[in-house]
Amino acid sequence: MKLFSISKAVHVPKFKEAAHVNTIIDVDAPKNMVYSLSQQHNMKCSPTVKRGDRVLVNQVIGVGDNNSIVPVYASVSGTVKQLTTKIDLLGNKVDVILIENDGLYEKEDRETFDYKTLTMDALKEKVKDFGLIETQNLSNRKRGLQLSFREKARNILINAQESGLYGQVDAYLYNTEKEDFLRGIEMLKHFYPDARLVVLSTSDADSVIGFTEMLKHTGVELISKIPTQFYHDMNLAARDVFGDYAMKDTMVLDAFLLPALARGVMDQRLTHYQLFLVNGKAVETPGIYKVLSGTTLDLVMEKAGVKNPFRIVAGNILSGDAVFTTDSPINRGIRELLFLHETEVSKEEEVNCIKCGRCADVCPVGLQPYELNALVVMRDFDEFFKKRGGMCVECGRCSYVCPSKRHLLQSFKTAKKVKR
Amino acid sequence: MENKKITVASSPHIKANLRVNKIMLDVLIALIPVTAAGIYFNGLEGLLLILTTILGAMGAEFLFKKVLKKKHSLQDLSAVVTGLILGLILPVSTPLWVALLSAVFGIILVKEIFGGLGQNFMNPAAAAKIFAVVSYGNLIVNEGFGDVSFQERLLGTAGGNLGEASIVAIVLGGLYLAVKGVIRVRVPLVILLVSFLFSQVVLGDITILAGNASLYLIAFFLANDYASSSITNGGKWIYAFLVGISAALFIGVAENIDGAYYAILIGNVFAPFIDTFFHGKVDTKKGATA
Repeated sequence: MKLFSISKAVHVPKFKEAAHVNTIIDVDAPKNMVYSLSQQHNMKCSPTVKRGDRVLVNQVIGVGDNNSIVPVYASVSGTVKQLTTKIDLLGNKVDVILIENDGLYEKEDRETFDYKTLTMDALKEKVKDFGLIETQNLSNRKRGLQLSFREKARNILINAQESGLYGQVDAYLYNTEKEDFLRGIEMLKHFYPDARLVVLSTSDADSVIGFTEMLKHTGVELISKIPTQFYHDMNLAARDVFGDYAMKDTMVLDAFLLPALARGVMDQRLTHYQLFLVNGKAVETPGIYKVLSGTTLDLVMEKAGVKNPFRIVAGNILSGDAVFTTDSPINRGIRELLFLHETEVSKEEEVNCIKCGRCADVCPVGLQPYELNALVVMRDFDEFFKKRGGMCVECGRCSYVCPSKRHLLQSFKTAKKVKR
Repeated sequence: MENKKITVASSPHIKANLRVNKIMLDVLIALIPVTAAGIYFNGLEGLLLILTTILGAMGAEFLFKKVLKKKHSLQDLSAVVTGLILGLILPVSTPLWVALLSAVFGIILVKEIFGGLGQNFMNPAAAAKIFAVVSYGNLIVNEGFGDVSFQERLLGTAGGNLGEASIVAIVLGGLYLAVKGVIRVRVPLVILLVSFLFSQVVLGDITILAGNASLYLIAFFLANDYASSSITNGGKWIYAFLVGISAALFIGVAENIDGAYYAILIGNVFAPFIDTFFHGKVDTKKGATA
């Protein structure tokens, strides 16, 4: 009974607990690779290669001009065919580099270093060079992982919470990358000897994966039973675990980037593949797909046997964006690709807001979405930010519970883009 | 490559069951016992009155949208709900043309002129009722219930406004809405509690207000109109208190038998002001779990 209580958790009736997907499907690298030079939200790299150049695996092909932009690497060896522009999955016009894959995978050597001698600034510089992109900070979307590292941190939260309702990717982490995951924890202990390490996981991950067993002798705490779902914002996760919303002495790391981080810092190896969940009714073989970065979406669709998708969603079903084209590379940081059949897509039209206040009830940060939406509709962006609209974590719950189907999340995303 | 068509739209991409017309349907279902009791105790004229107000409300909305060259919005059922509630808060003896006129007033002047669904600043049904009472006072005579025992008032008697026949029926409908999650229990709870306390402490007899069915009707149905009540959860407490205390004063002290409907309008007008005190509180502090 929720007569008196205000439950912040959204209950999506059709889906029970999301299943932990175990099948891992490798997609072979194609002949023609496409590398987007704008992997991060609204941030661009400039190319360092030109047409006709031969590139090797691990070679930098694009660099950014400020500290928060991570470089782009070639994941295959071959010849640069063209530098051009393309529409990416989310509808933005981006610069791309087309590389013809020669199938040899010759590697460029990377400099070696001993991570134990690194200072914090040097570590940040190295982490930036791995090209890893943080996805958990939704109000400041897709910044480089190096910005998560702090000089000093009392608490370190390793966030393994998955937002997916169509299945969880975490099984991969614990089955295949377990070694690197544990090494990553060792590495964090080296850099932050006094910090308290906590892993935040989904409530059923423990019984399915045996998390407690895995973390037994590491001295890392496990938290799995938090009522609120969908911690894909680091401030929210820090608030609910440590009571530290501003993250003054808390550092939040994405658990799915930790193995790659360990490989990079300890072995000087780059991680060129991307993992994501492919699911939905239009998919024949759902599962975790592993692709080399630079692979385009239609190859994944071919491999997964996608038939007549009505809508393709990049990201969570509640907050993800609809995909515009299928012949573009899959952006880094996309953890879920849903190919939805016509029967499972909401096609209802927007009607007047009836001011029922359900959106405000489910907002995890306590905003008033109906009011903010009205401000965006009137193009009053200053008032929008005055009413703390910028704090929206883009979880999409308000849009889901809205009986009038107002495009709440979409209007907040628009407002933030306009202002930025 | 074959030419595939994919659609692009804003999130959420998943279907949700909750729609405006589902909420309105729930309200209609909750009003079934009230309507049935009203017709059972007051006779078939009650049915005629309800049909008049419902058709009047639907027709007014349809015509208004037609004049504005917009698509009609009858499928959201809000006009039906307004019409039905208006029928239930008028006395059975109301001339049908007055009922029709007040339904048209409620829909056009209170709801549609301000922007239609969700934009009305006061409850259309209550405003239409007050319009009828104020404009055609001699034709709309609410005779009250006379000297009937409290038990009879609970179970049902003829007299008063159509929907006020049986308190049990109203509470039954209200509980359905509460269990379905359509209304927040705090609103009817505070309204009833405040007026009962007032009745017991100030007037000295709890049955004066507890036996007035219009209080239950506004507590469960009219005060919970989403558009005209307080939206914020904190504001709802104060809004409900304001409605409860005004209703208690109007009915108990001023001895106006229709006082509850005036109280609703007072509460509606203050609701946006009450809400301003509860806005913009961002939830950054929360107890740590670790």
